[in-house]
Amino acid sequence: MLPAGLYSDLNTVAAESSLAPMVADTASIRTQLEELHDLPTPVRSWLVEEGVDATDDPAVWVWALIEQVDADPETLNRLKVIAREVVHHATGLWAYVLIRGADETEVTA
Amino acid sequence: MSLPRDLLAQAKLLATKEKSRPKQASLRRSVSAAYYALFHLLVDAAARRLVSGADRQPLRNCLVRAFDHGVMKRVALQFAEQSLSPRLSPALNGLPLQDEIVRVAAAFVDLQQHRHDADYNLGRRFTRVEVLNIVSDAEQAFVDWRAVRNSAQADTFVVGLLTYEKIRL
Repeated sequence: MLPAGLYSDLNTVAAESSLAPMVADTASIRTQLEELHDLPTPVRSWLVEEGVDATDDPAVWVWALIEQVDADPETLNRLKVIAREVVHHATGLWAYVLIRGADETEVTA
Repeated sequence: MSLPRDLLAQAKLLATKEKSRPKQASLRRSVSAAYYALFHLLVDAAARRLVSGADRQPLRNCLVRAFDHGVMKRVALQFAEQSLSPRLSPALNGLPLQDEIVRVAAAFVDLQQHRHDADYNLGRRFTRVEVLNIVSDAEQAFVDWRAVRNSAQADTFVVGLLTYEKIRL
């Protein structure tokens, strides 16, 4: 059993070091995204990463790998809003949600 | 066309430049152009709001140099999350944020980060669909901005983009 307060002390130390823990549990977020039903367009799979953005704020990156790449922008925007809300509800962080084709793997030169 | 619209057109052109196997250089420059299209749309709107008159263009040109990308992101994030700081919320005078301005703000936050990744993060690879969707977000932001640009909320947004850090509580 750790002495009371030690965990928060360790967190304080970690937060001040380069080993600061991220607050996002990416596996949990991915599970929550996979459990979503009735999405605006089918998502074959989700990728979730955590990190620090360009302004040094912790953030989450979500890729939705979709089947129907010609879905209209409004549909894709609704999908992004849903994913962003899942992340925000779970972590309080902003999610950068990106759309990829499910079959798009290493298709660039 | 205006600089913002030219940049948006350039972003679309670059995203589809290669018929197959798009080059990372084209996709990355497309993302960057999409961000700067929205950036210039907003700073131009702010400058016109703050300094009017055809003969004041040189002054507006000076003014747009005063915008800070980081401050703009912080303000846009507040509008995107519909959670304004007390520094800005009184300016709305109780008016609700329109969906359009929330979407513009969200697009700005997203595009700025994507631009940063496109220009500096060589560990990331962009795909065509991904970039076309990013450009589409910028395009939609132009449409949304047009719908709300004369509102008090839009004035609060663009003035905040420039002055947020200087507003005292």
